[in-house]
Amino acid sequence: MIADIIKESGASLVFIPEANETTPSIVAKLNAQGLSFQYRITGDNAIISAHPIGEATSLPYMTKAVVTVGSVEIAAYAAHLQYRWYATYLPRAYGPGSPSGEFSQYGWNKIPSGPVTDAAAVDRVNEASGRPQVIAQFIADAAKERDLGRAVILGGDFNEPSTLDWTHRTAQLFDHNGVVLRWGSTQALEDAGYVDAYRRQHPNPVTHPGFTWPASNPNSPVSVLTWAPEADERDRIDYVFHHPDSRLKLTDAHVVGPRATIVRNQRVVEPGKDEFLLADAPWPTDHKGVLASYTVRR
Amino acid sequence: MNQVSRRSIVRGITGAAALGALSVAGAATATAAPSKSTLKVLVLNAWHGGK
Repeated sequence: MIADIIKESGASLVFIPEANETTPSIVAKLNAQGLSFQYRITGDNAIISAHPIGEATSLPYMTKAVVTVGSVEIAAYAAHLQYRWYATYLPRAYGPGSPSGEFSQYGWNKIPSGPVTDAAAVDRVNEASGRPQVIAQFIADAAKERDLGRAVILGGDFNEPSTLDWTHRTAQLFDHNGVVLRWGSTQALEDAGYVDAYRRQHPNPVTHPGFTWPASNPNSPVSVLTWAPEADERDRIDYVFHHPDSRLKLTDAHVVGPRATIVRNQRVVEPGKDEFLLADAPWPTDHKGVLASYTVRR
Repeated sequence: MNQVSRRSIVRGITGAAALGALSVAGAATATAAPSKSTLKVLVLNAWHGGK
């Protein structure tokens, strides 16, 4: 199914968190259809590219490889950040799945005392995840790539919402319960000048929330798709970022996958104005995808 | 999200070598060339490898 999604999306560079052992077969299926993809994996992050691709380098929670599009070298980073310390559950009155530290006593279960709306507490748990530190390491590594004359693209599953999404405009929506937070990972990218492709193309998080998790996978029971069954746990946690570069022009960005999601243990159709590519395609995962389109010129 | 513990082992598999083996085994020869002026980037969590 994933090979079909890649082919139908028209993607030529694919970042696959939780790639596991199936990436070779995904690429084999693509190439059996006359396409020409290669892949690189470190850890559980795969990069699949129709463009020439160099050897992979492993970074914490990331795979890096240099992809050459025409004559432009792009340092491509695929990320799958820590899924525990899932701090976005705290305002939803669920434990963040922390193995230690604040709120760890709740595991992934409901918090009897209700939502945690102290933004500083939520931020502490998020920092304890190590995700912002991983992004800081990425920013430092990518700066070296840029010094070498390469463009930089980062994509992946961050397991963390965006600082551009938990704003005053959404404070009373999506079970944010009044919390406004500068989420550390995306705030660091914002501060370093990186462009969030989806939010650049669709700047309003109310009309175009662009949620990527959870996806209503019709082949799976709701019970395995939701981790906070009494809450609205929708978030945009999958992203494509690029550093501003005269050789890269962002032209479009879409959510890929089913229009349906899970809210309070029910399958519901997203009411927002997001456009969904391949909305009717058979779906193999609990996430939706993100597709960002660029023109590349020397 | 993720329902399995992270693995610390870095496998470092390179696709080119694996695809070479597939070619020997008789997989179709890929011929399509990507555009040199457009780039479409897809992020998709495969949920334990997908199917």
